[in-house]
This record gives sequence, structure tokens and C-alpha cells, in this order.
Amino acid sequence: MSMFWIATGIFLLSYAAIVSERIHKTKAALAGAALTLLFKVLTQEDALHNVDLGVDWNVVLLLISMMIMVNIMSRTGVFPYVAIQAAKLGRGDPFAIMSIFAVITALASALLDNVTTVLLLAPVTLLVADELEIDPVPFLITEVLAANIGGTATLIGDPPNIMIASKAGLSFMDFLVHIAPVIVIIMIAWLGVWKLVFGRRLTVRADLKARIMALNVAELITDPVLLWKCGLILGATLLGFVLHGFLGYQPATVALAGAAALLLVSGDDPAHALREVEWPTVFFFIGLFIIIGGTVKAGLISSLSQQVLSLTAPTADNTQVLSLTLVWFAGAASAVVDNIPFVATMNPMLVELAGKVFGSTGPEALQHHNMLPVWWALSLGACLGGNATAIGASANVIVVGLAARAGKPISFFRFMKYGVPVTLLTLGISTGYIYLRYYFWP
Amino acid sequence: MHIAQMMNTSLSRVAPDQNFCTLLTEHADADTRHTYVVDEHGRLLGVITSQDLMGRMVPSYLDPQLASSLADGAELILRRFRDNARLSAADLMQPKPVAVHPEDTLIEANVRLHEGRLSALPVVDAHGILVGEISRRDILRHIARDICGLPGAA
Repeated sequence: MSMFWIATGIFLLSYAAIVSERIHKTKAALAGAALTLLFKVLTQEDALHNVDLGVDWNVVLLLISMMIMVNIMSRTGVFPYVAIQAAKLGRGDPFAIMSIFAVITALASALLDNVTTVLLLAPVTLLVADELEIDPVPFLITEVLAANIGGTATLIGDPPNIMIASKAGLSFMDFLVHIAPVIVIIMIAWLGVWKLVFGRRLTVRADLKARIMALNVAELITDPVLLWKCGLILGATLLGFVLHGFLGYQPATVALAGAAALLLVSGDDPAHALREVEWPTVFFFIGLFIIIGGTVKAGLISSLSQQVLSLTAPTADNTQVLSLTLVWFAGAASAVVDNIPFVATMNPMLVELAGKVFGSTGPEALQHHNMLPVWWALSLGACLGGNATAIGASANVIVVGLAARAGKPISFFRFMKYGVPVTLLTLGISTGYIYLRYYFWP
Repeated sequence: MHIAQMMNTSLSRVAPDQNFCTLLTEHADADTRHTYVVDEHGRLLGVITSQDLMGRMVPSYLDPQLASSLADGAELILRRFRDNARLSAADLMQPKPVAVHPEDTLIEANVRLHEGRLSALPVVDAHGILVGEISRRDILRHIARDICGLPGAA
């Protein structure tokens, strides 16, 4: 049997196992990676050291470093402190609180992992809903939608962006300049629609609002000294992200420096911070990179990119059809499958495609002004499409589980009632943005 | 040494349709660790622990810091108590609990407690009828009194 069919078989088998959720996705990815190496589709040298075929250590190191930073920061108590202050800022009005929580979640998830952001805010959300005697489910779903939207805005906000940036050599500033503006537009439009939907429905008595105003924040900050240290180091790390392109550092170098600095100043046993790292996610990435590397080497990705090429007919002067189609294709795919394996597959496909259209796979082709909108389309589609269903993104799955444990189960269809319209709205705005910014007024 | 010789037989038994309020009172006044839900023949249907009842009134999402932000926690507990007032023992119980038999040994009971991270186990006879409860304290009391012969352990 040719390597092409072996690699295709491993790829299909692993992805079927991941989608079915019958076995844990990390097990499926690692088993697929092991088969890729055992069948010698990829050598171990390729898997570990080849920049084009192997594990993208930039992504892996960036993820681990950011997880370490969040783990240390979460011990300061800053997240519940900010959330309760925000609820007070809303003066106990449910819709005001919902909107402020959405903005806070979007901002936080632009800088931190979406799952972590949602997990940190959920207890306060449940408490606020309890105090206001209202259903917490619309709040929880709003927060997860906001996390997925906000995470799209930056290079470090959502794993697909980390992967896209690493593959295409895009910087933190590139995302801030090209993606963040449309995310601001999306947030404004979405919250406007939310005001129409929830503005009148969410009302409570004045005495219930008073309960929120009576919440005490004095003891929420558990370690003020560590909080100061975290604030300074996080600020410096963010500055590092903004400047990494100018300084000639990879984002992972900046994140590693931030994580190392926090570990040093926190005075904690590193075993604790490292134990909290989501190792299953990290190894899921490693497994996926190896499986996809196998399909690239065996030629599957090249033949798929040829299909995309013939369907969308991009040229070096015009990639409009490809970009606009990709927003919706990536959105639909990410609604039903995890966006991480989807982007892991699309990345090498787009690199191959760039090679065919622009005659090279170097930075000059991958960052060509007509190739950039294609990457932005992939990022917007993959990140925002995850909002459609309860299984579209990791944060959605986490919130559904958390709500069930709190005695407020969210059915698959109830999630879709919120998620699908928001996904259609956000993908629609993204399509308009890409068309207008890159093709109508280039 | 068999469990029958050291188990507590003064049990808190309730019917599956017992309401939350009565159940709470009975549980609070009981001598045993758990309250047991039994059918009309005395067969064990489920077990209710203090945490099963507490969890309905003190939200599990509260950590110590967040709890400190509440001006009056008693009000929240009262509200959740009222919200759950319609629940019955059948709604609250853990069905099909791990149980031991009167002829099982002290070591077996201890291993089951350890494995399940439990504080006490129901004891049922061959027909599934609840006959007693065995807790770590019952076992320790027996060791102190009958094995080590310590004075005053009874």
C-alpha cells in the first residue's frame, strides 16, 4: 500500500475517533501520531525537528507558558474581584451585568485561554444569578460566546490563531491590526442584538439589586503582593507580544520569558503550576501535528489544496472567492468539529495553495497582501464558527458541564438557539469586513 | 470479627416520599452518619449523606473567597432551602449504595470505606434489608476496646 493511502487512512481514522468522542481526543491524536511513525509515513526526525512537517514547538511552548501564567494569576483572587466589581458597576441590573460580563470575558479571553476565562467567571456568574433569583443559563452562554469572539481578536487569544500565526509567520500586531477591529464591530453589533432580545426580559426587583450592591470585595484579593507582581509581568509580557515582530522574537519566547519570570517571583513550587497545565490539550496538539505532518509528506494535503484551487480559482491578483468561501466553510466545519484539528489541516493546505498561486511557500508568499485575507478568513471562520453548537469549542463543552453540575443543564438545542444566530451574525459581519477591507477598498 | 458485632443498629430510616423538611430534621437528630431510604419491607433503596443535603443549600460553586463576599449567607441558604422544599428523599438519595453484610469482616468493611472514600456503610442482610450501619468510628471503637484492650474505649 502506498504511503499516500496509509497516511490518509490514519488521518481519517484519527479524525473519526476525535469527532465521535467515543474515546478521548488526546488518545486518538497520540494513537494516530504513533501509527504515523510506526508505518514510517514520517520519521521521528521529521516529527520532532522538521519545521514544515513536524510538531510546531512554537505553538506548544506558547500554550504551556500561557497556561502557567494564568495558573499563577488565578491564585491572587483577581478574577472574582474584577467580576464582582463589574456586577456592582452594573448596579445590580441583570442586562447591564450581562453586557459588562460579556465585555470583560471578551477582553480577558483575548489575552488568556478561553476555557480558563469562562471557568474563572462562572462561579461569580452563578452567585450573581442566585442573588438576583434569575436563570444563570443565558449569562453562562453569553460569556462563552463572548470568550470565543474575544479570543479571535489576538494571536494568543485562541489556539487556531496561535497555529495560523506560527504557520504564516504573522505577528501579534498583525492580528491586532487586521482582526481586532472586526471583533470590536462584532461585539458592538452582537450586544445591540442582545439588548433587543434580553433588555426587557431581564428585570428584577430593587431589593434583589441591593443584594448585589451589598457583596463584599474586601477579602477577595488573597495575595496582593503576588497580584502586583503578576500585573507587572503580564504587562511586560503583553508589551513583548506587541513588540515581538520588531525585536525578532517568536511569541513563544515572549510567553516563556513571562512564565519563567512569574514562576521566579511567585515563590511557589513549580510542580504546582506545572501540574495545573492542561497536559491533555498540549499532547493533543503534539499528536495532531504529527498526523498532519504525515499527510503533508504523503501528498494528501497537496491534492486537497489542488481541489480547493480548482473550486475557488484564486490568482496572485485575486483571492476573493477563496477568502469569502473560507469564512463560511471554516465556520461550518468548526461548528461541528473541534477547530484545532480543522486549522491543523487547513494550515498546510493553504501553504501548498500559496505555493501554487504565488510560486513559493516562503514568507513573501504566505504574507503576500493577497494571501493575508485568506489567513484572516480562516481565523475568523474557525474561531467564530465554534459558537454555533455546544461542542463547537472547548469553552462551550466546559460551560455545559459546569451548568449541569450546578443543577442548570443546558440542552444541545438550547445552546444552538443562542449560538447559531450569533454565529450567523458574526460570520456575516466578518464576510462583509473581509470583502470591504481587502477587496472593495484594498 | 464480624461486622454484626460492631455495627450501629439505631438507624435513621425514611420512606422514598419523605419530604425535604422532615428529612432534614430527622437527619440532623440521628445518631448515625447517614439517613437511609428504605421501601415498605425495609429493603435499602438509597443513602442520604449530610453533603447531599448541604449541597442543596450551600452552592458548590462557592470557594472560600467568594463565600466571604456574601453579606448574609444565611439568606442564600434559606432561599435555596425553599427552592428545594418540594424534593423528596428519592430525589435526594444516592441510589444503589455500596453495602456490606453482617458476616463480612472488619478488614473488609475498612477496605470498602477506604476505596469509596466513605465515612460509613449500610449493612444489609441476604434479602437486601437494612440491618445496621458501620462507620470508621465503630471500627476504631472495636479495635480500641476488644483488640487493644484500652480502658474506657467502650
